[in-house]
Amino acid sequence: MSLASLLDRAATGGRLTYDEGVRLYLEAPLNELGAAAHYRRLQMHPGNDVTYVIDTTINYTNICNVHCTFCAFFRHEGSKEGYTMSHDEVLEHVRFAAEQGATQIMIQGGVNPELRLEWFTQLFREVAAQFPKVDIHSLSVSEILGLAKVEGKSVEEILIALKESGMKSLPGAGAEILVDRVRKRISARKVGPEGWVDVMRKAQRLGMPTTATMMFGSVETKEERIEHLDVIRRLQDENPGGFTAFIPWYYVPYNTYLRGEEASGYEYLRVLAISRLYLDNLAHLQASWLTPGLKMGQIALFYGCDDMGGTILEEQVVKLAGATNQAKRADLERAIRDAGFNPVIRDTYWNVRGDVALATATA
Amino acid sequence: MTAFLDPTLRAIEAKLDEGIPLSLDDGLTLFRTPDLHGLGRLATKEKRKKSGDRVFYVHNRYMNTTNVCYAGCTFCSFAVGERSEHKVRMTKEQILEKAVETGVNFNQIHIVGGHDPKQLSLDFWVPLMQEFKKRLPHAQLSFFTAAEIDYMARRHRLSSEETVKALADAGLDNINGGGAEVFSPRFRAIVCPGKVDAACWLEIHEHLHRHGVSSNATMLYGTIETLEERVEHLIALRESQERAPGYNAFIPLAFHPDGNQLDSCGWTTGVQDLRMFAVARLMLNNFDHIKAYWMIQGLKVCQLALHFGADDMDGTHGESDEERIYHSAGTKSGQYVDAKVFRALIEEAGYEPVRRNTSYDEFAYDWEPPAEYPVDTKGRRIEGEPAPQWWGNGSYPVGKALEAARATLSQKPRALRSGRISYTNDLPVYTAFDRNEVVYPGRLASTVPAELNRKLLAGELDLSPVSSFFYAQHHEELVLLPDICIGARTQVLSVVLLSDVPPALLSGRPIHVTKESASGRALLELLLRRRYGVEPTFVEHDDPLRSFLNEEVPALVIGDRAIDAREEARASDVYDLGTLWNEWTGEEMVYAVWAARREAVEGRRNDVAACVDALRKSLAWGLTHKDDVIAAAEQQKPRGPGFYQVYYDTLTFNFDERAQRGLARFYDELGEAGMLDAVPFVKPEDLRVSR
Repeated sequence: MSLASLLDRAATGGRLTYDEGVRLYLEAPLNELGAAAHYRRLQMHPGNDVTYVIDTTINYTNICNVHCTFCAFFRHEGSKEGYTMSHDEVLEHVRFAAEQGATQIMIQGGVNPELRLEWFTQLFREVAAQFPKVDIHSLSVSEILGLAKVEGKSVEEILIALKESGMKSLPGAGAEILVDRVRKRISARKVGPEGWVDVMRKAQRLGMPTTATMMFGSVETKEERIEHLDVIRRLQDENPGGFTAFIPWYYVPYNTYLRGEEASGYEYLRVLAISRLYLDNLAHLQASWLTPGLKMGQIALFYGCDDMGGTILEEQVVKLAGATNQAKRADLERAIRDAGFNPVIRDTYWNVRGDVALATATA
Repeated sequence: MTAFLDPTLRAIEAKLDEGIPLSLDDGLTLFRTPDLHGLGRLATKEKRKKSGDRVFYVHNRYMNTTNVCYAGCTFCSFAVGERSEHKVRMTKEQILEKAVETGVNFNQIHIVGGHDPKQLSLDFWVPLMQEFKKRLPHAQLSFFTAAEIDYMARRHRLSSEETVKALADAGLDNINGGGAEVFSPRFRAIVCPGKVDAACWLEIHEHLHRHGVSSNATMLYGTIETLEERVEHLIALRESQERAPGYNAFIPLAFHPDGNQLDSCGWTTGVQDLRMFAVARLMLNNFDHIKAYWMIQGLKVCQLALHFGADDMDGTHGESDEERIYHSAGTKSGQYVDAKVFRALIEEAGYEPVRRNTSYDEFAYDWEPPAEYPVDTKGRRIEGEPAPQWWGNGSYPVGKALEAARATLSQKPRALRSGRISYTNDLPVYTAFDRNEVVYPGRLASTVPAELNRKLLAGELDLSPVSSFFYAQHHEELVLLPDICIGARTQVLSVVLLSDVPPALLSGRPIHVTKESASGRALLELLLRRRYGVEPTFVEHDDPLRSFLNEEVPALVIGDRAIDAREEARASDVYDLGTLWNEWTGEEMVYAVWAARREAVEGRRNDVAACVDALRKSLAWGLTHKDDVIAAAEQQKPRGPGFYQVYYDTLTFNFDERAQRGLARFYDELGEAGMLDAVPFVKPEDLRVSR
């Protein structure tokens, strides 16, 4: 099949085999690959909307026993730079975010074996009680497995306990590249591909929406990126709708052991485009803009993305933060409009949140 | 997806195919089409007509020689007055020195400055240009903008043509495209009323072209201009190129808002940038090149621009250059891009990188000016002295970084503490320090390898040679330093197994080892397990050599005792682990690497770089003064004639690609054997790149 007809097929929703995916990813010119992904995105989401969610990430601890080589955040147990927040501190962060209009919080940290299941369930109950409008989209596969280990319980038991305490959905962090060879190199102490998929499958069966991520640009080959997409697509076939969105982000090599180069803009867009075409069964593709910058985040809207992810509210300078966050959202909305789309605020479940005002007036 | 989403692009494609110049309306259609990919596809097609698969870049130096300016443009964050404390006005000597500060391997010198009454005159520049031509004839001079030439003409009461002629005679090769802004009179009246008008700008460029000086053209987009004004600007350039050909490239300049009166216009968006490149490519059918200048739109967008009509990434700038016009206005781009980065980005985007000069003559990527060429490099910076700091008008966004930099400069940092091995094996690296041939910019303390390992880990040393196995075990805390190591292609002499039977028959036999030999033990264990399928049993012993000689207990012996063993034991009982490794893998073995503590590299990167630099120089001295090194070794540990000659010839000290490959193999094998938790990457830190 010629490259052009393969592109046409993918653009109109035809399923790509692994080999076809690799071929398109390696061979299709950027303009053509982008055009096909954009066409597919317009077909899947015919309105002219681009969604985003007002959210924040609360990194409750940086103590971690997983020691991934690509990570600049973690500290060993006993490190002078290690920290763990108290429940009150976490709640203070949630309060700040809620005041800024956040509808979602991501509570994520290292895998700190000192923290037991009860620490989380109590915290989530407290958050849910005090901030009923905020969805708890929290933890990750590694943290779930860490809890199962320290509690000596099954993954299901942990997930059920967390769900009952108010954690409604599970982010797809920690997927990196779901290929054995790669994980051994960059996250040797993390669970293998099947282990990751297994936790996600169990969460999905319990009715918890999940997202899927990919961290590319560390040590994997281009073919292994497609293998990763294939793993995600297979689980989505098994549990349709289980993943709400796919979020590729690239490895940031500064201050990590692994080092390396940051992915280029060209490569970022190619990954987005092939993800859009390959994941024919997954509704949303998210652009990240905090890492590659708003310019690239905006351009990503033409390479298959229909969502700009979260705003990750900042509170470093508490007095100014309100203004800063408002300006950040205004810039984001301006970029979406400038690209020819309408900014729309959504929540964790992709419901449009008309009750939360845009930062800028509709033109 | 061969069809256009926006069918109006089809008519435009037909015009382009027939070579008909596009109209104002066509330009507006292109700016407004929702079909970004259709636009990119058209622009890429036109780019290929002009330059095929090639994308250009230039090795250049960039200087802003004065920031005193009275033009009063509202979009500018760079200009200051005579009395400003941020005034920077370079003398002729400073300009000449700055140009050669990091060598002479460049093909262009790019200079622009302000309308400075004390610098911008023919009296200042003509002799300087002649001097440049004399000293650096291989570097083309890309000086001034039309606005600066207009200023010189007025101050000398010359016609613009007379001024142009004087500059052309002095050796000017090219003028820069700045000062064009947007040609619209409405725009200029509001934004830059003090600047040369459009007619005069175009006239100066056309005069230059007629006198054999080429030029570039620009447009400042993203402020108050309308799309019509943008397209009209492009058409005016196209017509000027018809009248007097000589424009090489068009460079779209995105407005940067920090610290100027137009800050409410904000930043341009990525999509606006891409549209601008594409429309310029499509409108300017008689311009050969469209430039995506990394400093303006950023490397990420500029690489994409290669699929939206651009075919040039402009210049590397020099490693010590300090561009200040865009940096005053908030660009996040750095000051320098290595040519390797350009080449990698261009190749990744599917094109062929081509090094050029100002007039687009092509050069091999590794071209260098002839060596016998009399180049004055005495302007080079003295080591340890801070670079001259010139900053913009106070709105420069690194205010805090500047404060921090000043604070660091004011307190004298302690010397970095470095280890050295107390054996003879590293004398080729250290003899030059002992002889004061090279000065080491830190403190050196020598001790045995195991102690060096311990001290580095405990933070009692900042950097040190450590065994390669130790580095692998602690790679999370340490940073691998470049350029030097201690390795051996095959035999190493100082790490040997003594055994009365071949290694494959050692199963079940205890092997005597010393406490200090952890790394040698790891290599032996690896070889026994992976090469010979033997699970070794190690027993610690104070003098394994003695026990082997007396009782034939197999022994691992390292260091000077290993060298003794060669003389005392039967040759057939001595197994050199370097040889065993090389027979098995075909690779070199690296026994020691230089590593630094992570916080030293993060906090004192330049100091660590200076130490590595000194080590490299010292090693170069050692390798070219072998007799001195051997004499030093004989003094420390006499071995008799010829020994050290052979010993130092077996060792390798360059941490080159071959050594890195050997080390990576070692780590991979250790990983496979389950002897390491995590397999480290062999990627020496590039200390020239700041993080």
